[in-house]
Amino acid sequence: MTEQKGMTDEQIVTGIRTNDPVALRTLYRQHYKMIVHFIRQNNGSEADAKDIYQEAMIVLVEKIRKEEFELLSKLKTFIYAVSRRLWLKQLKKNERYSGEVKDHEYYEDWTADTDDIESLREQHAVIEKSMAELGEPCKTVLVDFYFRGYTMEEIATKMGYTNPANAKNQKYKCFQRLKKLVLMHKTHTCV
Amino acid sequence: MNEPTDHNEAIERYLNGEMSPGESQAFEKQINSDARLADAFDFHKELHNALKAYGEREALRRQFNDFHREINAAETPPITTLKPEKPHREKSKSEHGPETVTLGQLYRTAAVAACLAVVLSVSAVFFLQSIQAGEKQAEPVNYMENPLPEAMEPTPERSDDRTEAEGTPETAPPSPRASATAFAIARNGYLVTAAHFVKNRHYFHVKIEPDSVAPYRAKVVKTDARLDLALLQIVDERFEKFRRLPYPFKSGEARLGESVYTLGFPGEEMVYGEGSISALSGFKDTVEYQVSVPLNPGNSGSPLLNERGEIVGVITGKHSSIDGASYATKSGYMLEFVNTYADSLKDVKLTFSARNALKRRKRPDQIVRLQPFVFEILAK
Repeated sequence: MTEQKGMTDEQIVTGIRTNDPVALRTLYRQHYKMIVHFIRQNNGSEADAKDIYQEAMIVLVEKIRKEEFELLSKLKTFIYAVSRRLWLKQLKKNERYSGEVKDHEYYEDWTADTDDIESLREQHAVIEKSMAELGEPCKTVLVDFYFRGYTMEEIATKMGYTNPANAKNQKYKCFQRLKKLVLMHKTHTCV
Repeated sequence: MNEPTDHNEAIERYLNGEMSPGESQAFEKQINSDARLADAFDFHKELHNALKAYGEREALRRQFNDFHREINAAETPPITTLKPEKPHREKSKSEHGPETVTLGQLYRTAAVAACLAVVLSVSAVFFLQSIQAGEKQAEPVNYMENPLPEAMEPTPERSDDRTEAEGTPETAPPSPRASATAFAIARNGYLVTAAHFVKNRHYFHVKIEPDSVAPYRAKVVKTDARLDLALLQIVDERFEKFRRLPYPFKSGEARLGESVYTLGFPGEEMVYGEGSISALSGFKDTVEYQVSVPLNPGNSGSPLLNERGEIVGVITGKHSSIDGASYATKSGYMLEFVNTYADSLKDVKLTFSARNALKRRKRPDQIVRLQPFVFEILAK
């Protein structure tokens, strides 16, 4: 896999939509240092920067892969704005926020729409928490079926179930348990 | 099998587009006239999509971690004294700024670079001998591969391939032929071993019983120098499929003090070694455990198992001056490494097991069941 420094935002967007790993890798490597710098300047560590950056990247990739996505700002601006928002929120949560933000010198000139980030992240949080509580082997069974598109036969082989019908039954039970967990967390976050 | 009695089945078939046009029309009608079914349908659909998105995020995270390791691995440590004072040092991959690397990572980067330098410049035998002679080494981790000076040649047609001891140390393979250990991680012929063993070597042969006199060809499909892991695939016509793997892979951390054991091939005979998890971080990095398992050259790539027969790590090396300090990459990182590769496959599925056929067995019985999945691997 080669890195292509010269990829434009448009090329990266197209690449991410067609699942091109080079585009994803290029994007990831393009803006990381900017976020490390920002977070270091604002009370954070390299490890914080990695977490925040990856969260921001996930939000961006999810948005790009949605059909209605339109490139309204530079990717750089969007990543910065989302990372900034996520980081300030975390600082406030940990009561480490000083009320002052040391920003990138051009930040004022950048605009990016990040308003729906919080609701998106809440949705993520519900399923992520539920999946964590669900644990293995349910997690793998569900992801294999719903995301990787494995057949029941393949799941049975992989997980060591005696036959596909057994795997299907397991999957059903896992799904029912996940439903309960999601309902529980949903009502929790709404309160 | 007891089939779910609610509408799950129908909803799923509808969402997956498995219904005939007539069937799906009838189902839509049913949804429109039944409020409870409509609710169930909406929720099911929402979860269905959320699970897809969840899987995608997990896959992204793994890819990101991969990119991240690359970024870290490419950074050059500025403290040159961390590097071994070896004449033939592997050239650093990049010269750009180290400011984004934490100190722990720096040390690790140096360690990895150093080990590669050693492996590249001298044969492991020389390395080991030089330590026995009491020479001070800058790099204290020994990598446990086994050079076999006059080992059997698995494929006669390749024997004229290369005369050793030619070429510069940078380009020459570490030793003409060497061996290490690998173990199966998926039924369709995928194996894991240590990355430093496959580095700069080209032909890999796996001794699979009962045909160990004619080892199976394998190729490297992915490596990660930082984790010191390599994924191999058997590409031999004779190979069909492994039996079902008896062991699962632990995704979480092992516990300090937990008793562990390993099976490997320091020679042609399988050797058992036992000990315990002595530290949750290894040679200046948390991707490895420090374990008190005695190792010998050839043990690189051996599986590390706990009492319940779960794979908890992959043996990578040992400390040359601290007695009984060996290192193993944690299985959680191994899973991440393998999954990243699995996600990149389109038509082939890499499936690995969650079943445990070893759990309640005594250790010798566990070993009997393990043996068919741990292999001696030869390279040149």
